[in-house]
Amino acid sequence: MRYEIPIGPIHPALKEPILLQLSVEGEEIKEVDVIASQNHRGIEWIGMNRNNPIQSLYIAERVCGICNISHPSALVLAVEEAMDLEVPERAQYIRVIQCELERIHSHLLWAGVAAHEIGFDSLLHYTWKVREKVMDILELVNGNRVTKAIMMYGGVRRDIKKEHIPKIRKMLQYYKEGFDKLAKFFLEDKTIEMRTRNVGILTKEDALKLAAVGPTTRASGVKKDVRQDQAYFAYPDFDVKAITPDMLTGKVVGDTYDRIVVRLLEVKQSVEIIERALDEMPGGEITSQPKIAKLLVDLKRADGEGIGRHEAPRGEVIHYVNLKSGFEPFYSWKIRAPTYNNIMSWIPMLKGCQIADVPIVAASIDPCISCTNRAIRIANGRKEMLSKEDLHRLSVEKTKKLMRGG
Amino acid sequence: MRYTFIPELFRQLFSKPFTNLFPLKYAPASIKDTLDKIKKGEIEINPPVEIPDKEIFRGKIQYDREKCIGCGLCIKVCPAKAIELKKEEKKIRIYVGRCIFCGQCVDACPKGALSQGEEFLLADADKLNKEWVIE
Amino acid sequence: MEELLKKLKERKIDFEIKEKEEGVKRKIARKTILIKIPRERLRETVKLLIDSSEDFPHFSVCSFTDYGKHVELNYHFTIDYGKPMEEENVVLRVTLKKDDLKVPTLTDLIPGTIISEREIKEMTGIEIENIPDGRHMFLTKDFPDGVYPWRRDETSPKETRKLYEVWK
Repeated sequence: MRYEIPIGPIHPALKEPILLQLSVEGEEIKEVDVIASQNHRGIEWIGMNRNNPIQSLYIAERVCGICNISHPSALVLAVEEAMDLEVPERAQYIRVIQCELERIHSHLLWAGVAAHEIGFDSLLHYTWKVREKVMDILELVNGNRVTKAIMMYGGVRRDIKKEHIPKIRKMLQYYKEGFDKLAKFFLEDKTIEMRTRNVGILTKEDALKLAAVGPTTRASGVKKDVRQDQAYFAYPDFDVKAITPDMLTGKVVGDTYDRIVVRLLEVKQSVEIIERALDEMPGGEITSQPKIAKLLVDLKRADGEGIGRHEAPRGEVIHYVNLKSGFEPFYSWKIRAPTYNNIMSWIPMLKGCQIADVPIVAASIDPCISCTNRAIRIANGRKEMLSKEDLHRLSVEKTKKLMRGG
Repeated sequence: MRYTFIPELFRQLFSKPFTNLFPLKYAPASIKDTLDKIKKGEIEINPPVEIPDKEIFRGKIQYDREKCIGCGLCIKVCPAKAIELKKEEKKIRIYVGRCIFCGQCVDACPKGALSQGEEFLLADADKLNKEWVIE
Repeated sequence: MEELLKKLKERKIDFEIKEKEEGVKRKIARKTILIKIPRERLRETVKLLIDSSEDFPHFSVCSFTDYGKHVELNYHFTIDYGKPMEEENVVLRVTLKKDDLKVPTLTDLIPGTIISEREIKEMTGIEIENIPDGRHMFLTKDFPDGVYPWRRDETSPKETRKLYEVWK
């Protein structure tokens, strides 16, 4: 007997409204269909019709709230390629530092949410406590806590002050000392292992064919990382290596546990990159075109196209930009966010899982998470509301059941 | 395999709060009554967190009317379309309700007429109240 | 990369290579291979790409530009990833006339293209031949037919309310 269970449109662990149509036999998921067409913000249309490129930079920042430096990064790369704009050396280093700070906070945020999804709330609070340190540094360096507004075509808008550097180093020291502890809680704990080992497996072949990106594909053993493969900004100086789970555990399974391993190792890698960047940061200007009016004129005159690729915490972000002289907005603009590609990998991951695994597997690709949502369960023609709390309760019950040895 | 988090859990029982304090220690039964009491000075609340670096903090926008020449560059770069030109006076009007605090207009202004202050507690029910429309 | 270029030359497919310098202390060249092909040879070229790459070509996204009388469809791929600084971008550019908007599907060769093809179909009105799943991907179900947001002609959305002026 098969039942159809829709999870969404506004639901389980997603910020975007999306609908997961699950077809189940008993507790086991047999078929999955992802229906994304719930809401469209028309950001590309705005960039192509209403805004000039400088305004579009800020709308790019708001494509995603958590990785709000990734989209501007990819966009400035694309525009700089299209109009042949020079970027000063110091600006390139500041960009790297900002990107890595963001990676630390995003991965820790995700780790906390993952702990919450399996009902391990004490670990959620611990992880977010640890994350608070990097948020304080972001606030110190950028002025505000979340949106940084630091990228600009041809450089960055604010320098990292001398007096801030000791504080950043102190934070890095805190993470270096605390990393082993965090890794112990996440990777050696029985609860997490029970709920994530062999759950939501994505094979290497599927990852390649479905064009998955970021930690999702790296956890399946594909060594793909833009910072390594086609470095940009100041990344060629740092010799970044793509992280795969076998570096720590010695094997690649491609399950949710491996995705935790990859993200935690990347936090450690980011700390090392920031430390080196601070040591080696050259002096000089932070932007090649400080006059905004002149920049606007240059942007209007520019002709050409460019592709910007940036490794965001969730995976690779691509922006394609086409500029036409005399036409102020972008002539064409295409944004490819990492979840865009990763969403299809839910289908092989969820097949064969149980309903209680849906929150953690859905969260494991790190889609933008927030909002309390609900799902509707249609069983025998009767409609029941299955809220986010119910799903969470199911998930917690499964953890408890496993702990009892059942 | 074991439960590695348990020792930390006990340690947490005796550690101090890590983050910033809430305005009140416990959630009040009635928010309206509490607000009234705060106004009268019957209850004291924990003050908001201090701004770590006042120079680069991006708070509520401040406008120096005298310096403004009405060139309209801030209007051109504002991503939220929060600024409006008053043509006859050659001055601008800023709707803080639409502002996204990016500070691009501050960078763009050739005369330095715009700056960002330290004010950030701006919640209000009316978007067009006096403090929110800067002229 | 060499293998791909050799095969392209064998089949007489034109390409050009663009380079851009990146990096601060250590300079590297970021390469983009631009291949302009007619629609009929799209599938053939993608097969070539699959055969000549070690792992599997990574399909990134499909972008679209409207030039009035004709439109341009760019398929963005990356190849040779996994090795430091050796990855290249590959762009397959297909130019279509406005009165004949059709391209073959690539989903049987690369399953990951399905999202992009569904997006192209709804955003630009290009017909994808033999697409296995032609539903809307990003636009809502009730979005009117015959309106294509990425186009720059009479089919682009007209009645866009200026929401930011409503509350003043």
